[in-house]
Amino acid sequence: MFCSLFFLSIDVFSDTSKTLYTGLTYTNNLEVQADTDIQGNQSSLTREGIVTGLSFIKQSLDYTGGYTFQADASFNKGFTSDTDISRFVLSASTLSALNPDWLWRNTISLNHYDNEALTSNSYKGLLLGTTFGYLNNVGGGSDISFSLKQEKHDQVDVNNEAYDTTRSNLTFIHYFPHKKDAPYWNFNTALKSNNASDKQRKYDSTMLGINYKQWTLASFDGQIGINWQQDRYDQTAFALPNQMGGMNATGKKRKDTLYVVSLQLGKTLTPSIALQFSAGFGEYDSTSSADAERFYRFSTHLTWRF
Amino acid sequence: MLMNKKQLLKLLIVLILSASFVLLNSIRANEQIHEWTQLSSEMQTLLAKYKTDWQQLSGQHQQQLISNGQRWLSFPEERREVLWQRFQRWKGMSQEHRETMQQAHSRFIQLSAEKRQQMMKAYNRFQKMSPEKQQQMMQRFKEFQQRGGQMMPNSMSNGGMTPNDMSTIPMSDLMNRQ
Repeated sequence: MFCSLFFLSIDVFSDTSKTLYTGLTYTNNLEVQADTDIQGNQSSLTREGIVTGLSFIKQSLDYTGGYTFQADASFNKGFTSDTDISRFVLSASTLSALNPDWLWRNTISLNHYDNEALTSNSYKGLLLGTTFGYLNNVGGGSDISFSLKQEKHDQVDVNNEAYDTTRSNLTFIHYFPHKKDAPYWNFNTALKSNNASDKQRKYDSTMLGINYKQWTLASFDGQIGINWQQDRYDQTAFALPNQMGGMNATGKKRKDTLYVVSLQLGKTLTPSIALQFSAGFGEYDSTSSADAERFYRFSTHLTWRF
Repeated sequence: MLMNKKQLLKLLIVLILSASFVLLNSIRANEQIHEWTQLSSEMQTLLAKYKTDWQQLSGQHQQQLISNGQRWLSFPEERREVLWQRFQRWKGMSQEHRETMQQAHSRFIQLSAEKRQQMMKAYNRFQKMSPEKQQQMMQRFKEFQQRGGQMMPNSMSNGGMTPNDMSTIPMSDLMNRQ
């Protein structure tokens, strides 16, 4: 009797959802669709593709915490040969409360990513992450996260050898106060480290960004943001080509800077079908390249939740 | 003399006690009859039905209910109040919600003693939380999940529909490469 009554007092939020999505993607720079590092010097590689994927989420919450389990698989078929991208992610999170104001999430995630055009970006990975979230009573708060991700890049091509890397990531996000479902700003900053066995891929990063989310325009929901990131490499920059056809060493350590402006719009068509459009514009500048690369990308897709 | 004075006195006491008992019972019965007549006819019908139902129960079942009733009466007033409120909430739940609760209960009783104890500790930590506070706490968890992009929102229009796929997510997520 007591056990029954014990459970009578607990509200449980339980949800299982499956989502099928399909859409078109385009970029003028294949590198920006890579999952890991942008190496530059490949700006001529445009890519168009059609993506299809299936996502499964199971989550359960009560007032003491809960769990989320997610599986996501997608296949992006490139319109030209040898440009397919496939991806599989399996992740699980637990949630608990340190006290009513501080919540805690722990995540483990398995990743498999395969990019035919940029094989050195293909990898198998394991991520462990933890996030402490502070929630105030006016819709604002902060998240402090730390994650470690081990990646095994085992595909070799003419320019790249197999390598392993450990990525560590310390992130701080501040959410400005807002009413429920009202638009809001968030500011984020991160310190990252990519400790790769391939010395040319070893770097530390700093990231800053600001985003404006949850606003509506006509019948679309939207979010817009600008993010800046700088990667400082251990090794000196790649040589620059000279007029004689040879290479000049820069003598300085390589430093890459990336900024991106992004826009996302979503519209609910029926209770289970939604249309989404996203666009991004940015510039990538590296001391290993003579010129900065400007890039852009668009994607639009339909999602069906069942 | 067949009976001496002492025996006569004993007999008298017994007679007086018996008469008092009969009298008290009669008064009590009269009071009950009076209370009964004060009840509405609907209530009288309901109670008569309960009595019939009770008589149809097996002796073992009756004993169990009496035992439960005694246990209930042994609880302090505050505890009874809390349990009664929970029972009222249960009655107010949808069938689906009740089934979810029952599933949670079934899972609980299948757990190891250690795990149950952990859950009880968690429960005790929040025991003093009112249902409203519990709702607020769940809402905070949802908010925490949603702002971290970890949760599929109930509403399709909440911006959380985007699958976590690099080939479809917005450009800003490029910056969050891990």
